[in-house]
Amino acid sequence: MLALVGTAIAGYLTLVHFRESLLVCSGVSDCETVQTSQYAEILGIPVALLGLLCFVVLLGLAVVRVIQPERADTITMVMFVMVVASIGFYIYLTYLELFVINAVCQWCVASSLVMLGMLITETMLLRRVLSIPEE
Amino acid sequence: MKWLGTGLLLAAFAVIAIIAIQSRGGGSGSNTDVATVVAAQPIPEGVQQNGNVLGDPNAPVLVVEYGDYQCPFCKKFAIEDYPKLIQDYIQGGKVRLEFRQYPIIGRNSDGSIDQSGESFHASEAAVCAQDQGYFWQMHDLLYVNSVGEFKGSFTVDRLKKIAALIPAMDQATFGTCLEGGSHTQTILASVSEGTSSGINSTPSFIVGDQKISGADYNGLTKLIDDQLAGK
Repeated sequence: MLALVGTAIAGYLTLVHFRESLLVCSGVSDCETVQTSQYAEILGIPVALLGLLCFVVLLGLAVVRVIQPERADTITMVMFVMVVASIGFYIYLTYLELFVINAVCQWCVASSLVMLGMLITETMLLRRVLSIPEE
Repeated sequence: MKWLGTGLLLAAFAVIAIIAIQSRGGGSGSNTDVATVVAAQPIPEGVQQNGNVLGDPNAPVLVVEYGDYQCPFCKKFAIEDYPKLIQDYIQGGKVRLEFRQYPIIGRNSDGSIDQSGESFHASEAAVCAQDQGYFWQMHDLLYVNSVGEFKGSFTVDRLKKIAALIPAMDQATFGTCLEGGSHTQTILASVSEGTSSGINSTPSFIVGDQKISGADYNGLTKLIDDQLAGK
């Protein structure tokens, strides 16, 4: 569920990046400043798109975990690592927003919160995985 | 299993570090340093200026733009798409472009315009330059020197430095105009008029009876072409 919400938010941000008709300033948010900063792309790839890809992969893994419970342990470990890596990147992005770009986009904040939620759930699941003794 | 997890974690942090390093750099190519001001590209020769209207006054299609000089998307359009618009439509006498002030960034919580904010000051600078016939020079300079929202792009001092890049303009007259609030009501009226026309974001364009918002050159030129075809 969280991966689905994250996908929706990241999808919207990606759409804004590419659809020129959505490139507007409404005067009430700092999203435009964040999205047009030099940090909005990495090697030419929009950060929003990277986030979308990450959430889509997490969503896919979550679905596979339900469909193929025999793979759940491995999938949980992979998802945990992905989420930890993503959280690290989100911390970096938040630092940029607060101290470098000096603007905070509420959609980016929402995306971060979703990823944080996933960190909590995946940590709980990983603890369950690690409590099973290895054969 | 544990070693696999540890290895994956280490690999993940290595990726984060690489991405963090790679994400530095880049940029739009225009001025991003609030400590300096830079010149803009000169307006192509032969393109007429009449106050805040660019192009042949007899051009069949009028494009009205509502813009805010702090808006990054307005800046994107100004730097990337204006030259194309000039080359494709204005120089050929097909379009005349009228820029109207719409300084909404940083507006107050009740929706009223912040008259002490940078967007408003920038609009004042543009209209003060217009008094002396240098609207479009100032307009271009403002966008080139816009470094982002609420970053000091358009303090009164910096606006005077930007104005100094138009040496033919009387700087004392400009300064008096800027600091005296000569055009406060004009700008507020421009915002009010735009809002009444259904405008609520920037950049926004009106072509005939059609409106379009966003830094969307293809969308704008489609409206222009439709207007031209209809004449």
